[in-house]
Amino acid sequence: MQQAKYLDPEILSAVGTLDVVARRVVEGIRIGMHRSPLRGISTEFSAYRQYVPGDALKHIDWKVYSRTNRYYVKQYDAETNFVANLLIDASQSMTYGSGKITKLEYAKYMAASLAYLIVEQRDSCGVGLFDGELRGYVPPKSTLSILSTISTLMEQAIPRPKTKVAAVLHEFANRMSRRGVVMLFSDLFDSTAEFIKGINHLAFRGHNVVVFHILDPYELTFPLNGTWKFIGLEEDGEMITQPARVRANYLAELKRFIEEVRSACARNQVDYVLANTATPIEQVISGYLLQAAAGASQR
Amino acid sequence: MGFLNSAWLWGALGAAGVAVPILIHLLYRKHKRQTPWAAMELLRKALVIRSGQIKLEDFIILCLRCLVLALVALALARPTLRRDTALFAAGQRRIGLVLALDSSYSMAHGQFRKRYDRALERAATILSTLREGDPVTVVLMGAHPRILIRSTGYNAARFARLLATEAHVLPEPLNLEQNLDELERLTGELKTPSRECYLITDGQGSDWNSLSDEASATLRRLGKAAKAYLVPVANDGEDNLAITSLSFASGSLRRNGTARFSAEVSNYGRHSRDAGALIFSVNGEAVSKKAVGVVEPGRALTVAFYSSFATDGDVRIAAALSTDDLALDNHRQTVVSVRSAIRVLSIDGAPAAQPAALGATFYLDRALRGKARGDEAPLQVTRAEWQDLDSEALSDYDVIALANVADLSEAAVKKLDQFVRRGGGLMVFAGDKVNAELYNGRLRTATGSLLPAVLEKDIQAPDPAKGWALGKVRAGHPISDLIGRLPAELLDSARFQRVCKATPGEGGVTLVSLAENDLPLLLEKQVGRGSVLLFTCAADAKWGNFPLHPVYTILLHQAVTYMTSHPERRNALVGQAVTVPVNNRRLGEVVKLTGPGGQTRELKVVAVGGQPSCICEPETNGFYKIEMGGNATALVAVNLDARESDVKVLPEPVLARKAAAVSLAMIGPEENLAELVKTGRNGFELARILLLAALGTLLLQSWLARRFTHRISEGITDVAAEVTRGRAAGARRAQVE
Repeated sequence: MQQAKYLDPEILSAVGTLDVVARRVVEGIRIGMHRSPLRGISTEFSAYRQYVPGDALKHIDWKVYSRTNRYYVKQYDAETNFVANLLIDASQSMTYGSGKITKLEYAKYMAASLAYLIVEQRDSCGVGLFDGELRGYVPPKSTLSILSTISTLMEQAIPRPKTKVAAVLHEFANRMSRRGVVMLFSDLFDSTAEFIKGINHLAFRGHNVVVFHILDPYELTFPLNGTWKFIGLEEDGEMITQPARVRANYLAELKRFIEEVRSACARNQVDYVLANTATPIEQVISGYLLQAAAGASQR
Repeated sequence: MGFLNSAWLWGALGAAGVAVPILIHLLYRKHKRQTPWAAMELLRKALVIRSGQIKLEDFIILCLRCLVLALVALALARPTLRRDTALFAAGQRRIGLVLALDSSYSMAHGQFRKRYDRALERAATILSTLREGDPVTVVLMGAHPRILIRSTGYNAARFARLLATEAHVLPEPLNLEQNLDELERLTGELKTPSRECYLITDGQGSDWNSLSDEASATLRRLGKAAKAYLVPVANDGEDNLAITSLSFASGSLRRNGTARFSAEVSNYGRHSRDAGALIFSVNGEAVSKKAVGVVEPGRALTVAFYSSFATDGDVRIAAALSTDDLALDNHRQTVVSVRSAIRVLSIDGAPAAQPAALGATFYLDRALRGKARGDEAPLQVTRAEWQDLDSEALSDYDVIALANVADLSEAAVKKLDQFVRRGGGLMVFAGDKVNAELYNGRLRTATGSLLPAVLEKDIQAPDPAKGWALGKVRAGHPISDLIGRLPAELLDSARFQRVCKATPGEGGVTLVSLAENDLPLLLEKQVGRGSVLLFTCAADAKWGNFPLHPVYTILLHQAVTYMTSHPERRNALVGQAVTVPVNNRRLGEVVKLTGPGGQTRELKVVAVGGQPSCICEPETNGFYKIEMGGNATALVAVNLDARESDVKVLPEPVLARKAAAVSLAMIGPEENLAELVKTGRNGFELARILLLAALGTLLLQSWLARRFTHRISEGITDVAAEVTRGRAAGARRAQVE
């Protein structure tokens, strides 16, 4: 039942149709981009492609040539075993939700969905919960039983104020001896400069990093009217204002913030996904996977 | 600056109104909602940039909202500016005008053009200076004001029609006090920045020469409330002859009797005038034409004529003078009631042993009946003793004479009271048997004393041989007037050795008094519809030679005629109410009244003094006929108030001084009225411009509020979409490269 809470069958049915794409993403996109050192454990025929000058002659499929009198090159997808670490920001700021779902819940569902995908394709997946520090960690496992462990961890998480994403990223960069994938789920309401240093560190260590920037629709559009008292969730005081009067400035600041994060990610070849909690999770995940697949095929 | 509506009221409401947005602002700030928020850092950065600006914007919006309400409140108070105020050009010029036309009948004077025609011309000139829609009130001033039109928007055609058809001379004198009070009220009603009041009059000396304190005070207040003008009109002269009275003088108002009537012709002009002839008519037929002769200015001549009456009933007597510049007062009329017979009950308080004795009733009988005897005698006298009074049916008599009656039972007094109240006449003579204290007490009923005086003890003349003579008489009463007209030698020969001392009581009037000591000899009191005459002398010859004197007979006849006919009760002035008894009708029924022009209307029978009567309020002069059912009719003669016949006007400089003393500006008959009126105008109302300013401010604040609070519409609305688009564009760029 715990599993069912996180692994919504509707989400999975939507994502499940993209199973092949997901497999290619986790094994190939990032790794292939670096001429993955993991190649050689197993290969699987993928497709034929017409020969172009420069292709190695050993890859020409002569049987096909004999039948068609044309040169085709055999393509293989490398099937790798990799380790993914899903880091979920469980700080107080993530408990904000203008609708039925908070950012933290959204992050949990999203992480669980991805974990399921990863484990299902026999890769290892670990999950870490953090706020100011790492509060809980499930080491990577490649069996589906990890899902219940992850669920229990997530259930027991108690949100605390003050996010320190950078510290957790540094810790992970140092802890992960083997290069792998790090997926971060956070609203990133922390020092942007420190966060950038953190993802720099991870990227430098050769990890593939994906940042899911989770924001509430109210945070994205600031649609409140009248006079409101805003109570900071991370012990950062209170503020009374008329949102309509500061909306333009707020949105400009928000855009600046997102652009700053996004450009830093781009510089460090980190995938950045902005997730609006009003958007269905499967749409965000499938959108990301499709986008990543498109990026990978270009490379 | 002035205010047409209460500045205090609208100021208070305005202040309350201004407080509303402030309170809303404060409450709005206090009633804030709260929410937890994660992106505090972003919000703080946004707020740091805008907080100062927001405060300024809030303050501007609040000020503008307060200003809107303040402007509306100010507009509703209807402020006005004078012409010399800098903002006058922006204001709206509106004039409220009260036009008061002196419509007293002196305005009908004029040889070539009547004063009233000139007044209407001046009125039209004043109205022509107005703009369409300016509120105007037109009042005709007479004995009381008549409002022709009240605070109605000016329309040239409508007002021209109104003046032509509705404005006319009234058969009344001018009562300034009553009219001015109304004018002040009407002027106060006008809700315009500039108010004007015009009094168009002939400037009669009788009206304007000695203004009462009340009228002066009202005019001063009027001068403060409005621009008040006195507009005298020109005239064709001041000569006027008028019949100022026509009345029954003496004689017998009985069938086959003859009565003397006298008319008074006055010259109100400044020159001697031959008054021409005076034509008397009886029941519409001219019966006598008398030359009046030359009347000196300020003097009056009395012309008499005699009329005999072959039948009984109401008789119309009229007098007409040759036409002059004012025709209205050249006619006068009166009505007398001619009786078929008069029945007198003579009660003797000290009957002599034998009827032939010279007792009081003997003298009364002789004086009243004369030589006539039998049922055909116009004056029938019945003699009775005082003990018989209780058993007598008093309704069979017209007059009862109590001569030296010692005592009266309570039942008798009650009967007498009812008899008098129903219109009967009671004559009470003193005598040696009369007990003053008993009379004072006994002749008093619940409604007051029947006697016109409080009786005291009788007093003897110091020189009984000489006695006292008849002296002062009260003017304006048919009985005393007759005595006054008798030769002095005749009067002097009547002597009174003893009289009963009397002091006039409530409602009592002394008609004749003694020459030497002014002691009342004859007193009268009106009781109900009848009257009581008290003689303080005896009816017999014990207290003097008066019963043997011719004046005794004349006086008794006049008294009996007066008490039975009451000629003054059928005469009234225009505007005065006349009460006519209607004995054969019940309360609530109606009688028909026919006016001089043949116009008819119905009058309701009401109780007056316990008797069914109808009240007629004539509006014009002439004869009025009241049809009481069957053949019974009653006539009423209505005349003009003679005071208005003095048409002399005050000289212009004098009138100007009088006007200035009461804050009236005068525009003379020769001055350019229209130009002076326009020059004197000032005052502009700011209500409209203030409302426009309020509307403008409201629109400005709405626009600013929208601009301040909805800037979002001009910027980004969805950052997520923006970022996503940016990312897609980046991807496309990468693909192209």
